[in-house]
Amino acid sequence: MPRKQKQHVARKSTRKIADARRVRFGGGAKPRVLRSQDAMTRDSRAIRFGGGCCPASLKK
Amino acid sequence: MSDTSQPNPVVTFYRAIPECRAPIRADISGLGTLPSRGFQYCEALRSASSFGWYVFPPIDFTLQWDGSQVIWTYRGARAWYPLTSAQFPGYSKVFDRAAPERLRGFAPPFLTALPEPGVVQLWTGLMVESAENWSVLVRPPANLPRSLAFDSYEGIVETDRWFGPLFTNLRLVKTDVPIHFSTETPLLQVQPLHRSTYAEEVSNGFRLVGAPADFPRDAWKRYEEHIVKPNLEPARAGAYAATVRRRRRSGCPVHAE
Repeated sequence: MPRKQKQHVARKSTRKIADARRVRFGGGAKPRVLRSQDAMTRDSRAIRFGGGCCPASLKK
Repeated sequence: MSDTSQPNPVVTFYRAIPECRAPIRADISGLGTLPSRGFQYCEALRSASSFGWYVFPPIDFTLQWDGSQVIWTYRGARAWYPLTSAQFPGYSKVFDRAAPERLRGFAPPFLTALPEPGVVQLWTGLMVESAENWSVLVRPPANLPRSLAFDSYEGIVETDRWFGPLFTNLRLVKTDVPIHFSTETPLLQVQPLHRSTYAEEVSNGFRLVGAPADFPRDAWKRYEEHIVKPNLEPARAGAYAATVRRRRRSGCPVHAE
């Protein structure tokens, strides 16, 4: 006679494990809305400063 | 006294991004984070903490690095964006309105991903100049808890001769986690340095007394004065701090006793 299997019941998450979704980690958590252009911050690249912006081949 | 007089001001900050938070004097208590014993008795800790000025990020923003590419977003943005080079939001127009006509179109970028993996150049929104023969050391805030997610490089800039953006280079450490930068938290501490203090001959000119048997009599005398005597008079804890403060109050930070 087959044993009677216990049924799992899916419930809403309780307060203890609710997550505000403020923190994500791991590549799979990468933001889904990723856009290539932002008119507000577009930079013409006309200005560079600091040695870090100098191409490596031009450094003495 | 004349040889210790200072130009006033030694350093001038120029706020190029109008909405960015103004620098403030670095705090003697590390914004209240120092242990109270250290705050009360350790003048070395207090002096280092309060030396210079705190500088803040010009906007709340977030970086995320996957080991190869940096993406970013900022307060008010609708999405994340791959970071190559970015202006402060809406700043190009502000700059062009204020700058002389020949300089329009030459606003400095706010964030730039450098060729080195995870290294990002950040402009604070400020420009800086200093009095003749004075430079600025740009470094992480002294004695404030640091983020484990990034480091910032330190640099000394001769801002009496070079006028431009006050910036830093960040090295992102953690991958695949959002790294937040807040206008509420100091990002940098800017400290004035007289050029003579970091001259090559100064750094090259140190000396070593190699063993205690070689200590001159005067060194032992000073050890007795500063270390042994306070221990024999335990009620006088904090004597060094008291002496330094008394000297400072007397007017001259270097010579007066």
